[in-house]
Amino acid sequence: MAGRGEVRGWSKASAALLLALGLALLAVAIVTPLELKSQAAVAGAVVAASLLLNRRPGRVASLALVALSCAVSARYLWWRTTATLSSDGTLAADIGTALLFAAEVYAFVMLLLGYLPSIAPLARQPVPLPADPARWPTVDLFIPTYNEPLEVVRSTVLAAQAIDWPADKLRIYLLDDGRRSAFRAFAAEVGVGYLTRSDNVHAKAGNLNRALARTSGELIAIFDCDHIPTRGFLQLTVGAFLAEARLALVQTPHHFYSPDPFEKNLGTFGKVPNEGELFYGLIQRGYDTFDAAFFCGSCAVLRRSALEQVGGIATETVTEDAHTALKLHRRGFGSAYLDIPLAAGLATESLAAHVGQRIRWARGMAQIFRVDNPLLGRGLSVWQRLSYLASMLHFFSAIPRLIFLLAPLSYLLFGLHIFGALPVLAAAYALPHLVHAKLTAPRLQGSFRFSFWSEVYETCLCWYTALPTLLALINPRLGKFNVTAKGGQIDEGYFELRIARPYLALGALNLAGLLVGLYRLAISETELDVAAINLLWTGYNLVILAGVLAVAWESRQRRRFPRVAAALPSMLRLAGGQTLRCRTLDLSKGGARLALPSASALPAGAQLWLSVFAASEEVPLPAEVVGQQGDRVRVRFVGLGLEEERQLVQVLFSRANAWIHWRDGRAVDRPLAALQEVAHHGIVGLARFARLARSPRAAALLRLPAIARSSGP
Amino acid sequence: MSEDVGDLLKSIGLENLEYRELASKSRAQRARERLAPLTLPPPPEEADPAARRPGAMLTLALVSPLEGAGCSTVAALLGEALATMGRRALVVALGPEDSPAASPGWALGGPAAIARLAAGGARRLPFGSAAPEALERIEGAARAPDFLEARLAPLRGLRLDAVLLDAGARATAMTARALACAEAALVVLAADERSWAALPQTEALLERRLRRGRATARYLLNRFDARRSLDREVRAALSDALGGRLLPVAIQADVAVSQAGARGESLLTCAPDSQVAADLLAVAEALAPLAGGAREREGDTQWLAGGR
Repeated sequence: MAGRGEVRGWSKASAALLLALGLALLAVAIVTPLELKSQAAVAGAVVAASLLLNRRPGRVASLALVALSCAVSARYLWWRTTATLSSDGTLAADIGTALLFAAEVYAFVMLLLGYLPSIAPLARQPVPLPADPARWPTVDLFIPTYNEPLEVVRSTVLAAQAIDWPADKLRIYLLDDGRRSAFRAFAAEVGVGYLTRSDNVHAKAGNLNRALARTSGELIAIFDCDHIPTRGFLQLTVGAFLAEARLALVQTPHHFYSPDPFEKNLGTFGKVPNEGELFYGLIQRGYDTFDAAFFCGSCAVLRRSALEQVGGIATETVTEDAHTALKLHRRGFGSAYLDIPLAAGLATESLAAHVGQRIRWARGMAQIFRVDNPLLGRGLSVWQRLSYLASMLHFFSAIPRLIFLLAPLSYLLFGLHIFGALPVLAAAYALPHLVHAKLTAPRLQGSFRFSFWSEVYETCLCWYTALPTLLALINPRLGKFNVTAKGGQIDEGYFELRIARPYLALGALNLAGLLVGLYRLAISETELDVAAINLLWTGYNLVILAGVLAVAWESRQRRRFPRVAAALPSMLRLAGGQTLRCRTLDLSKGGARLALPSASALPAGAQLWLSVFAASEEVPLPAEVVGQQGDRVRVRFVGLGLEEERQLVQVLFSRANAWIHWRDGRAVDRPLAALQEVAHHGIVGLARFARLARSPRAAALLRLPAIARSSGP
Repeated sequence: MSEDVGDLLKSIGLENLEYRELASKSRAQRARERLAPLTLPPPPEEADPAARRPGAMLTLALVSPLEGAGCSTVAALLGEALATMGRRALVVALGPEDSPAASPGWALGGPAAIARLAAGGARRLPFGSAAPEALERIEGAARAPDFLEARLAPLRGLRLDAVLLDAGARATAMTARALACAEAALVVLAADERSWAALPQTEALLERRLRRGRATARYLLNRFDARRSLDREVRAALSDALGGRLLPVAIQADVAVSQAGARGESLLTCAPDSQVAADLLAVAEALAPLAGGAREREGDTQWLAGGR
C-alpha cells in the first residue's frame, strides 16, 4: 500500500511539474515579441492548427481550442500593453488610447469568463421522487402580480392547478400587489389562495416575503404571472430537494412562447437563438458545474428553511433573484439548474419594454456588484466568485461597446492615432485574436447564440444601460423596480424613434466616418493601411447598427393571444352531427389553425365544436369558422366557460411535453451566414427608411413611446 | 401513461422514471364519486402471453352489457376497417336479429356455405335466427360446451386473419360460448350511467366466461360525445376503474354511421375523413398485427398477446 501511495505521490508531483512547465512555456509564448513576418507566420500556423482542430469532434478538441484562443488573445493583450500604448501626444489621442485599451481589457476578461461556463456544462437529470406520494413535500406555489391584466394571469393560475402533485400538498397563491377586486374574485372562483398587502414596499421581493410569512409549505415554487407551468414541473424538480439536504434552489429555463422584439421585428422566431438562449441553454448549466446556478425570479423552486436563513428574498437591489441566490450560496446552500423547459411565458412585446427590462437587470447586477461583491466576503468558492463575476460584468458591456462603435471615427474624422502600432503589425496580432475567438465561440455556444448576434443584442442596449450601471456603481440606492409590460398588442407597425435615436446618431457618425475616410483615401490624403483598417471597422459597426435600427421597426402585433405551434390530433363536430378529423397547426387562447385531410367546404361563420385530443383527454371547445384556404381552416373560440378555458389552458400550456421540442430542427451557427443575415436585416431596415421618406404617413410611423419604467422578469 | 408524459420522459432519456398523473387521477376520482358507487373486483392478473400463438387467426368476442350500445354496429364497422387494412376478417353475427333468411345461414348451410361466403368476399356472416323456434334450437344447442368451437373449427381452414364474434348485448348461452372460445373480448359500452352501473356484472361475466380471464378484455366507448358532461365523467370514471383496459380511443358519435347504414354503404368509403372512421381504424390498427400471420408489435396490441 505504501508503494502505491508513493507512486500516486510521484504522479501528482509529475503532473504539477508538467503543468508548471506548460504554464511557463505558455507565458514565454505570450510575452515573446516577434517581428512582423515571424508573428504573421506563427499566427498563421496557430490559426491553421485551430482550423484543423475544429474539425475534430469532442471535448478535448474544444478545450484545446479554448486554450489556444486564450493564449492568442493573451499574447495580443500583452503586445497591446507593452508596445502600442503610445498616441499622437495630444490629450484627445491619449484619452482615446486609454479608453480603447480599457475596452479591450474588458473584452479580454469577458472572453476568459465567457469560456468558463462553456467548458463543462452540467447536464443535470431530474431526481426520482419516492414511490409513495405521502412522502412528497408540501409546496406553496406563488404567482406574484402587480399591474398585469387578469387575462394574462388566468392561464398561469389554471395551469398551476393542473400540476401533477398531491392536491393536499399543493397550495396555490395569487399574490396581488395591485389589490384588485377582480383578481380576488377570480381566485375565489377557481379556488386558489389570494394574498395582498396594504403597501408595495420592495416591489416583487416584498410581495414574496409577505407571502412567505403567511404560508408554511416546505418548498416554494415561484412563477411570474405570465409564466405558465406544465403539469410535470414539480415531479421533475422536487426530487432533488429530497436527495440533497443543502439544496436551496432548483431553477429551470425561462422559455417564451411569444417572440421577443428581435424575433418579432426581424422575423427570426424559431430560426435564430433568442437573446436568452445562451444563458438558459449553456451558461446556467456551466454555472451549475460550479454550484453557482442562480435564481432567475420565476420557474424555480426554493426551500423555505434556506430562504428563512437568509432573511427571505433579497430586497437590497432590483435584481432580487440573483442576489437571493448569492446570499444562499454564501450560506453554504447549493443550487441546481435543470435545463428542461417546464414552463413558458410571454416575451416582452416591444423594444421599449425590452430595453426597460434590461435596464433594470443591468442596474440590479451593478448594485449587487457594489453592495455584495462576489469577489469579497465569505462563503463562496473561487468558481462561484468567478461565475457571479461573469454574470455581473456582462452587464457592464455598454461603455466598452460604445467605445468600439466610436473608436474608428477618431482617425477617420479627426485623424487621431489611438492605436500606437503599424497597421500591418496590429493586424498580425489582432486578427488571430479575433479569428480564434470567432472560431471557438460557435463551437462552444453555436446552438445557443449565433455569431455576431451578441453584438446586435448588446448594441441595442448599450446606450440605455451605460448610465444606469455607472450610476449604480456610484450610488447603489438609485433606481427602483420596474414592471415589464406583457401581453399587449401593437395595432400598427411603427418605427420606435425614441429607442433608435442614439443609434441613428451613431450610425450617422459611422457613415460620416466612412464617407470622409473614403474621400480622404481618394485624394490620397491619408495612409492607406490605417484608413483601410478603420474603414473596415466602421463598416462593421454600420452593419451592426443597421441591424439594431431594423429591430426598431416594430411590426404590428394584432393578435390578442400569441399562437403556439402544436400539431395535435383534433376533430371538428359540425352542426349537422358529422365529425371531421383534423389536426391543429397552431393554437391560442383565442382560436386555432387547422389542417383538414381534404378541402371540405366550411363556410365562414359556421358554428361548430373543435375537439383537441391531448394528454389522453378530449377537450371540446365551441368555435366558429373564420376562414378557409384549401385544406387549412381558421376557427375562433366563442363563449368559452371557465371549465372550457381551464381545459384549453391544459391543452395549450400544461402538456408535459409542450415545450420540449422547441429547439428541434434549429440550424447550427455558421458565422459567415450569420453575418450575412445580420447585414440582410440591416439592409431591409434601411430600405424601409427609404420608403418612409416617400410615405405621406411618415410622421405617424415615427413614434416616441416611453421606455418601460414601471414588475416581472 | 399519457403520450405527452411519455414523450417528455423519452426526450430527456428517463423513460423509466415513475410519473404519477395525479391531476387527471384526481379528476377521474371526482367523476367516479359523482356517479353511483361501485364495488369492483381487483385488477386482473396478467394473462399468460405464451397462451396465444402470434400470427394465428384471432378470435375476438364483442359483447355489450346493455342493449343499444351499438355492439353489432361496431363489430360490422371493425370488420370493415380490418378489411380496409388488407386483413381477411369475418364478422360472425350471433344475435337473433341476424336472420339467415337474408343469405344462406351458416348454422343451416354448414361448412360448405361458409366457404362459399368467404370465397364470395362476404364479410358478415349471419348466424342467428329471428324465428323463435330456430332461436330456441340454437340456444339449446349452444349450451353444449363445444357448440361454437366445433362450428368455428372449419374457419381455420379458410386462412382468415380474424373472426369477430358479435355476441351482442344479451347474456345468453351463446354469449358464454363466444367468450369461452375467444382469445380476447371487446366490451362495447355507451358512455352512460347504465353502462357504469353494469360494470361489476360485466367484469364478473368476463371473469367467469372469458377463456384467458379479464386481462384479455378491453372496453370501448361507442357513440361518445365529449360535449356531454356525462360522457366525459363516465369516461373518466371508467378510466379510473379499468386503467389501461379502457381503450384510449372512443368511437365518436356521428350521424354518418347511421346514414351509411341506412344506405347500405360502407362508412369508410362514404365518410373517409370522419373522425369515426379514424377511430375505427385506430381500433383495427390495434387488432391488425395480431390478426393472422401479421407482424408482432408492441403497444396497444399487447393485451391480445396476454399483457395488460
